[in-house]
Amino acid sequence: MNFVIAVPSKGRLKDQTLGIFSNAGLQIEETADARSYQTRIRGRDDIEIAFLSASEIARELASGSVHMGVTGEDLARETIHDTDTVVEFDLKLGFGQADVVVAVPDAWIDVETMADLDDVAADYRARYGRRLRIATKYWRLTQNWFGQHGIGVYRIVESLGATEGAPAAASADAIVDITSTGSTIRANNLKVLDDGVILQSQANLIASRGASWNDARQAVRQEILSKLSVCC
Amino acid sequence: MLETLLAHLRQVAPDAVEIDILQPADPFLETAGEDLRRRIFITESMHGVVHCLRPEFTIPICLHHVATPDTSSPKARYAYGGTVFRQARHGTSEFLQAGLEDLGNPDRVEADVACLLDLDTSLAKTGIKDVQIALGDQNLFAVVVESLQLPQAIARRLVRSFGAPALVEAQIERLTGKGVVNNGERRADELALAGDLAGLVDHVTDKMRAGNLAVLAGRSPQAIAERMIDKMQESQFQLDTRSADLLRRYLAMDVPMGMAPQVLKSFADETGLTFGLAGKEFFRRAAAMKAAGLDLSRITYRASLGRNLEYYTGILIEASIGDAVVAGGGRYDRLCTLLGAAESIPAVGFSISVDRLEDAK
Repeated sequence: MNFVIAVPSKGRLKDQTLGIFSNAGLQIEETADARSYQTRIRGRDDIEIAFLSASEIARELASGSVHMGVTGEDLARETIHDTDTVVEFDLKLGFGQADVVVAVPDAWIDVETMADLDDVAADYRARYGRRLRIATKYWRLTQNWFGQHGIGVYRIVESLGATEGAPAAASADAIVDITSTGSTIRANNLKVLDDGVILQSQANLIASRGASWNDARQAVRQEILSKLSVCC
Repeated sequence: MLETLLAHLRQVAPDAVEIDILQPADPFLETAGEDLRRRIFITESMHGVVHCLRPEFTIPICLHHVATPDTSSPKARYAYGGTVFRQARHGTSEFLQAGLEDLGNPDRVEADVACLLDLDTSLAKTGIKDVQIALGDQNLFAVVVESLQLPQAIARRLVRSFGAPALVEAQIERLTGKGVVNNGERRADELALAGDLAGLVDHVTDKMRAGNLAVLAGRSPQAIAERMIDKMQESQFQLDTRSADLLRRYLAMDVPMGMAPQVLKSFADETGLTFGLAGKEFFRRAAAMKAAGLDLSRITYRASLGRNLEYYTGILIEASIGDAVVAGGGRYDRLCTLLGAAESIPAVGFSISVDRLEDAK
């Protein structure tokens, strides 16, 4: 088995990853044909590149079927249980920045903090006959964060797109979502809670602890890390 | 060991109930909250109905009791035993539980004491000695908080956190500092300071319109405005050191049950608070425990023992051998209404962790 690095297969994350590898002197070659998802680093027959979707990369890192991967910290922490025991965040790559935040309707003038949200959640059912609903695709991050703040009585409504529209569509009361500038949140008349930033995420070079490692592969990992460090 | 326990439990709690392994997940998530989701096994049918592997027996038994009302006798005592399924960090996810639920008995003291007695004799049947039982009381803590005459929302928050010592202490800590409302919303702050409810309602309504929020879909402008005014008042509230001290001293109380009534009485005398009805019930229960022949030397009253789940309403029970908690229980008079009962149904029960009991033996 070669040393395998998983790289995002499309979009800005892909372009930026290819860019940073190239700057570090690690030229990822074009795939032989457009439908292929495997390639190499030029001149390095010992390193295999696998193009995968960003969340798939997190799963492959968790299972140990790739040695390293480039993906967002948000996806890694959302996808992988007990994240830090399963993978190691080797390097922040300086792109793909986005915060995972808790946001509530701007009209909730009385809710500024997680403690306020706790108060509101506590008697929601007694007042409105149902639990407070949070729309998100980040189940795990939401559960951990709300748990840390002692909030247990709420329900998650799964949302796979346009989460910030959920309160206006009355499918949820508040959201946990990703934002880079906050403009989408504001445009939807929502506001981020003062202590509502769950995670300041960006693209990371991540190593899988469960992959098959030996001295040679650890050396490759260190080499890639030091080359990329110079340009990040 | 499960058979031994069940044989005894069925004698003292003869009402039969059959609980399926596959349960609808919603009642568990609605009562215990979203937090439970990561600790149970969830599965979805082809039609999108979400089920879970039975994580405990209390909720299904209460659901059964609510769904099959016996008007001739609203009282029932159910025994149960079997496997429950919980996600565990390491090792197995299957655990053996046995216990009982006493539902519908309006004499709470009688039901509490019977429950304690049944727990104690059940454990004794398995040949286990040296079981220590700690008791807590949700109502007594509520009375102590009430005596401090705190702003309502602060009092509610404290009571809600009862059973999570770190959360309670963090609140006491925060309340003794001078609070500041940092709202950044000058208009709302001004209106709230002036106590202008109508002005706030208009202000919120405008914001809801701007955000295309349906005014009727969730929190109403009225509810938001009212809470804003409460919050402004609270922010000017500071807990005096005497009150903070009283709370902390109460929560630190951990005394042999035989001495608990006396300790509580002197605490009341010294601090000038009255335990009222909750105190009366506590003292009656303590006397009834003694009369029932419970070995009070193995029972302690631990004031901080509670559960921060809204349906717990009275006594809290925790049985342990050394450091291992082998059984737990308590009173949850609000559970059946949460599960759809039209009227409140008194409920008390306990659950024995058979695996831990075997380990401890």
